[in-house]
Amino acid sequence: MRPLLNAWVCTIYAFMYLPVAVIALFSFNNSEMIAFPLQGATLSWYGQVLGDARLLGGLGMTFLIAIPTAVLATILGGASALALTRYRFRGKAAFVALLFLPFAVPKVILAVSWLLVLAELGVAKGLATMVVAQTIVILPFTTMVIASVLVRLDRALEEAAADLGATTLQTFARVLLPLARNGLIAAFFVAFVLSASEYVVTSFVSGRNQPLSILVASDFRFHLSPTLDALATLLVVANLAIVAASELIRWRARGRAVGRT
Amino acid sequence: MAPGDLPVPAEGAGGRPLLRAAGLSKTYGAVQAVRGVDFTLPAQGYVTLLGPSGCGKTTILRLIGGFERASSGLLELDGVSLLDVPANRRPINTVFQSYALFPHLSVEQNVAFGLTLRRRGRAQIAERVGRALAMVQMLPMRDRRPRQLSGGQQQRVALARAIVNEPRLLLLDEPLSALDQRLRKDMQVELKDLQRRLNMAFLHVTHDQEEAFALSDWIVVMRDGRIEQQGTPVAVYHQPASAYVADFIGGANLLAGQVVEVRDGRATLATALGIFEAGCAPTVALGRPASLCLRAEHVRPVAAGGIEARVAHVVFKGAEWLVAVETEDGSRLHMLLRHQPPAPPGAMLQVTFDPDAAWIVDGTIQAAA
Amino acid sequence: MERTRRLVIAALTWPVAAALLAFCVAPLLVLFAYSFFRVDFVTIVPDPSLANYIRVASSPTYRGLILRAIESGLLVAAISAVIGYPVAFFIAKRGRNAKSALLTLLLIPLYTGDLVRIFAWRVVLGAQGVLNSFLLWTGLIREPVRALLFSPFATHVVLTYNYLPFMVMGLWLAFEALDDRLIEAAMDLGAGAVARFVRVVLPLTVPGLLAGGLMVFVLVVGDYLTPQLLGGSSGITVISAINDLFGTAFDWPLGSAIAWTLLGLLGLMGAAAAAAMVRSAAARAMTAGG
Repeated sequence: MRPLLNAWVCTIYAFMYLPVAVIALFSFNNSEMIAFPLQGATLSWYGQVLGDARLLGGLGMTFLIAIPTAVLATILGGASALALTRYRFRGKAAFVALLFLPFAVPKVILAVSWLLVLAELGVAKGLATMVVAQTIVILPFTTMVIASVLVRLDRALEEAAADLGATTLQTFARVLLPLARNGLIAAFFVAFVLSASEYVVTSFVSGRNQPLSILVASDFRFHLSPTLDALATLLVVANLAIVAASELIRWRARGRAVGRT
Repeated sequence: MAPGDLPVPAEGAGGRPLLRAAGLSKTYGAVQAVRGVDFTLPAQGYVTLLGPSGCGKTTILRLIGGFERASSGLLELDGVSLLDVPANRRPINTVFQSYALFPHLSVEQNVAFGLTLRRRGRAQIAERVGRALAMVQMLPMRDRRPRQLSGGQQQRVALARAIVNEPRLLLLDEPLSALDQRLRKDMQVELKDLQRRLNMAFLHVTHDQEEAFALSDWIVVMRDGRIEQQGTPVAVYHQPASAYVADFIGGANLLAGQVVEVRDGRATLATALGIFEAGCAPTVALGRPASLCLRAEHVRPVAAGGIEARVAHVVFKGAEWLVAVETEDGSRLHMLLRHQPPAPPGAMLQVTFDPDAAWIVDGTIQAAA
Repeated sequence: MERTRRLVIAALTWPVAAALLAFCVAPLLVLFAYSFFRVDFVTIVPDPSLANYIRVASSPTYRGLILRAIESGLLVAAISAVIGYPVAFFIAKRGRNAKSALLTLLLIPLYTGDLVRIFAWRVVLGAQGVLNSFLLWTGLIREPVRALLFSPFATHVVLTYNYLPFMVMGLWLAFEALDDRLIEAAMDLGAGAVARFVRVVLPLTVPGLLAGGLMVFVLVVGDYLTPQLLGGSSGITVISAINDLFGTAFDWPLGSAIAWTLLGLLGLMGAAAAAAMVRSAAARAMTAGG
């Protein structure tokens, strides 16, 4: 029974990484055509991507959007998670429903409603609209990540801090925050990555300067080329690097908590 | 004053008790966890709250600590009401059942936590922390993290962290329940010793009556949100107020009976095994159900002139033998004997007891149950 | 004491609630208002009527699209439930120290972005793609299978791929909460592997199935890119219809009506799932006792 389970799990993971592997493979393929058989290795496509000013501009825009979005989503998500895991209050169920509304409503529907409002109010589309829109959509994710960390913290720790004389603020700063740090870092990275790869909503509320995800989309519609593969692979690697960095920080923090003897 | 109260212990330096609770109650929805409890705590002394789980003892501790808000009643520390004072402003510290040591701080930082909040000088903090750690023999571990400590060690750090703040009262919430038997006995000695050296007030919550006896200057026995009896361990053991207390403390034979007469602190009780006269608890009265309380160590076999009984079973306990006998009318009596019992299970023998050792308590087991 | 507590709760919840009300609820309500208007060439006339909703309800095209969306949602939810169930079990019960890593690994392909994912699948499923090349190479087929791409098959495979991690997450939480000792107790009482699964494991993971299933369902219904770019002629979805009505086929009121009809249906299904979760044996077990 067990080898069957292991085999199944491996198959599923392989399935999940199949497209990624294929993309990476063809990004090194020395041919304009994305088809078998392979024609030898080359880095020329990467060269093209890295030299493309337009793409680099898009990357800049992506960062410009992702960083404020991640900061906002983490702070708001943290506040929500704290309220959900530590306090009982009237209307809590409604608050939860509100928090997960952006997740439950199909992104396109949200996006068109934003389109309507922006048109009505005559607000220009641009950086601000993209940051707000993405923050709303990413908020449920950051809330869940931070909540899952907070839930596991012993409630007695906060009582102990109060017992020893700490005010609510001091308990938050000296006990909760340090212990939830991993969750906050993880939430930040999740938000960053989700923002960088966000396309649907962003396409509706973007202004003249477009992030990478939209540039890729427009290129994609016009032609399939290995440069796109190279770009995609770079994006995957970059995302992987960010996630790896976040995991590394968490792992080292855990090590530090155990201590060196 | 609840039935069974004996005079309160010595009062604090100011001529008044350290802590006073009157009519203290806590209700959670439909459940009354604490029902109008009255008691006082002296400024020095080891007091335990003893009772089964659900009796309200932990709730009272949390009310005193400030982690719960009383539904009604009075709670005063040094004559000042605590009811609106938040936990972090009460000069009271707690040793939590799970120890609640901060995992991201070292032992030293944990102990210093309360002091650093009050912004004492670094040198002063280090000195006081060092003294507190030395008192619990944890000084060599000052740089370790809680994760690297054993249960007993964590508990000592929790103690140090509490006492370093020199609180007026130390609350201990079943601090020894997670430790194994051997360690528990050792820690009991250390706790008692610590309390004496610090000469302060300790309030310790436990369900283990042996622990309560070993540690306390004063025991408060609780049941269902009310205080059943308060007194010194000796008084509670030898003069339980009710059948419930006698049974909870353990090792007592309780024979239900009818009260025939009550006079000058002595009563006459008619039981299935005969009519007996003995000292009685304050609430024993004509017309109320009562029981004859006989400690197992006071019942012994006798050659002739005793009560006929058949040996039901025999349990070897190492230093003693516990023998259960059954009389004609079905009453069970337990005896604690130093030497091998005179007869095996099934055999008949005669038992008797020292009449001066008997005590009559209010209520019966059936009613208590 | 009580005042600080209330202040803290307010400080934590009101900014978020305000943001969500202003940027999520309000725009959706505006959308709702628009669904009662009508369009007159290039202007929107605020002339309230139920015309759009009647149109949606009576049009076989729109009804069909909505129905197809729900069907796809249920199908993908079912498939991902079957596929993901063993994986979630594995991570929860056999993962030991690697749990967080295993879950993260499952989520990483999501981080590649919608378009890159679809793009990659085109390469895999195409006539000269990986799958066909492999099948040709093994001799299982003699000609590339054209129906792999630009077909409902392609759409559903990739939809499952996109949202499987969400199903696994939902199930994983349920498995984490499953006390191993319950399974041991069943074994002790004589239950074989099948009985243990059917009578202990499955009922207790129903909340996870419902949670994961609901997430997948909602996400599938909302996904228009995948069907549009991989489904070929079958790739028109109700969402893409809404998209068009807000784009080239200018009719915002009608689009709003379709959107809100869909939202209404999603809301109903969510409420049904929530009710089922609350009444499921597992939820009853978790809230009883103590």
